[in-house]
Amino acid sequence: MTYLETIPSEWYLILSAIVFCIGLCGVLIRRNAMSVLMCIEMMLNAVMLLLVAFSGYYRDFSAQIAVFFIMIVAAAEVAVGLVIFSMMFKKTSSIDLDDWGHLKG
Amino acid sequence: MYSIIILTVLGIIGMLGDMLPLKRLFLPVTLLGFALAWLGYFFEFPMHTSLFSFDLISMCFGGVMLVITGISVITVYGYGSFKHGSEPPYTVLALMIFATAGGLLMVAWSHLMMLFLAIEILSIPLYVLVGSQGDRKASQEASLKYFLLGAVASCIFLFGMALYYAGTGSFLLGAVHPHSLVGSAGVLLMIAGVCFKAGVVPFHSWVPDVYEGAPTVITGWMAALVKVAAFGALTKMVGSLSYSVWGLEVMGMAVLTMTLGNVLAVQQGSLKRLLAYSGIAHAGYMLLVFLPVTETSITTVFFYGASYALGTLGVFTVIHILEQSGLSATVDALRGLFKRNKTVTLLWCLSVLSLAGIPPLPGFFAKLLVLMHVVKAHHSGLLWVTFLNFLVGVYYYFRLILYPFTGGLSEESVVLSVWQKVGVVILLILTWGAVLFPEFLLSVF
Amino acid sequence: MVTLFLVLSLLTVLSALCVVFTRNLIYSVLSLIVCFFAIAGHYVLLKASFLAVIQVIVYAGAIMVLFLFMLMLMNLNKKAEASKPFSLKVVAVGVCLLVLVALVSIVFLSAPRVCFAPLAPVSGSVSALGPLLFNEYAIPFELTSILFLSAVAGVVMIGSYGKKAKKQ
Repeated sequence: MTYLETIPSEWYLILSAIVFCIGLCGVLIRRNAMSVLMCIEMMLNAVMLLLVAFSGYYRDFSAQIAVFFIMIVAAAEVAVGLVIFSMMFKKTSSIDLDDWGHLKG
Repeated sequence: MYSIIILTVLGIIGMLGDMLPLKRLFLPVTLLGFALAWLGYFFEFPMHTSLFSFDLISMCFGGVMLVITGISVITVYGYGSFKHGSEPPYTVLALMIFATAGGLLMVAWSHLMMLFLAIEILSIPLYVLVGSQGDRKASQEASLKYFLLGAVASCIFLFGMALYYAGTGSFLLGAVHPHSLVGSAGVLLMIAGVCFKAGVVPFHSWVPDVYEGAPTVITGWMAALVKVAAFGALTKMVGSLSYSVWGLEVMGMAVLTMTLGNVLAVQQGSLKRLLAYSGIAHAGYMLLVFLPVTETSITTVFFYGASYALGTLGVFTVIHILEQSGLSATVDALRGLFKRNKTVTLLWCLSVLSLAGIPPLPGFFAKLLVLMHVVKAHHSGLLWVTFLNFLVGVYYYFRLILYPFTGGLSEESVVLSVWQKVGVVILLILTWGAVLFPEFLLSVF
Repeated sequence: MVTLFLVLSLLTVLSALCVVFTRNLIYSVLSLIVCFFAIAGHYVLLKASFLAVIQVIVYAGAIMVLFLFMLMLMNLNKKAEASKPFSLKVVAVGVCLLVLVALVSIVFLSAPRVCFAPLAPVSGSVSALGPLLFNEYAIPFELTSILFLSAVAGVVMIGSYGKKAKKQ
């Protein structure tokens, strides 16, 4: 029995759904832009976990390549996001979303 | 691929713009590059690989996007030379060109990973450009909001993609038909992710803030480009999926989008917010075209997208010119525009009438095509809702038409730089061209 | 094997919950790092060794260090973040639970049929992924350079605003 034969694929689906929903919850309830970005990273990781797991089940490497690209994009996105936060921080010394007009994000 | 390569090279030239010799050549070279990028499609047409498909859709939507960015590059360049002594903002131009490359890819994918990469290549420059007026708080706020919501939307898209892969074992939309619920859920989440970019209700909350916060030249450009790109991508997506998976949801979103957009647009005093909400309504009309997908769907969405892009670019160019002459972008700023500059007023009236859908302007034919599509789909309720929405649209656009002819706040004439005049004239020529030869756009598919 | 999966999953979920529900930002960053390490552990179990390494280096290493750096720079760790009103929190948690229930029920209603191809067990090592990345996926790999170019140009543009303002 290999590892993948002992673990049903649904388990990975459910695990990543749980992590994704925790991340979504964080995006909704946190007020600090930085923590919201961290929760977004967590959601991305849930996606990557799902892709890697099914890449194993389907014995197909293209999903792992996809994960590689998602990591690249995430790095670029974090860089842009952090510089936007720092631009705001210079202006108001706060990155609290509720201080910023009617942001609902 | 040639078009993407050419745009990348142009973008790099733009990034180095401040250091390059022969700066006068920058604009001609860029515009020539755009023309070459479009011609590039003909050399490899049609090209289908497991990652790309450069077909008729990508060529036509890509052409529209290149025209949009071409005109906007001219006006942004003109804005730079308007402010005396200041150089044109080369980095802004470079980012606009990179985003256009992303837009072209968004209508040329066949692998879902490519669609994701394309969306990100389009979005990341946009996040920055929206915040490119760093001294205005609204601009920063818009940038932050667009970034956070956009990042969540791309997470949702990716989760959809992962579920689709889990359900079908493939990243090709057409290759495997999703029988499983997991795959269908994935498809819905992916459509939601793309609809965010198009500004469809319930993913619209960024639209008014971003349109208002972004620098006005950028607003017009991104409103046109993103809508064309997102609907091009949606056209490619829904064409290869079975209607039963997404039909009902898309219909609900379309009805909500056009109704909410129009109702909220009526109450707005700020021009940019008004146009943002009306842009949401237009997204709703464009969604109707996919219910169900027929042979005429692609023609309709293409024609609608092109006419919307033309109208939006015209309207925002005029608002930008108004702001440049020291007025804020409220409805009242339009007063007396006719006395101040007749050409600009002509562009304003033509663009607004086109967006409102008054014959013989292209917007009218676009709306007619949408109505014909709804009639064919045999949804009488949907038909009435659409028709009422069109009427509400005509009401609030007509208010905008009347203002330039009433008494003005300031009497001094509006001054434009050379390149801004060129941009205005090109927009006028294109609008008249679309009036005189609409069959040129209608007969491509 | 099953216990290993369960332990790693528990660690992932608990640290994810910590990220969301701790008030102190430094603790949230640290628990996010734990979460990423647990996910890297999953990758090892799934024999995706290359991605496991990348996950540790890029995510837990580069990206999270960037986060910590920014937190220290902005001195945000001093004051605890103000929280949203309780009613809003309850609504948000309720929405997320609903989404989760929907997803889980979809999974149980239709488990994806996974066919095990009769192949030797494969591992996502560098030698397996490299040729694929640079042959079949070479074009998207090049396209990511556009993404990075625009990110770099944008970051420099936004980052230089402060300087301009000071000069004036």
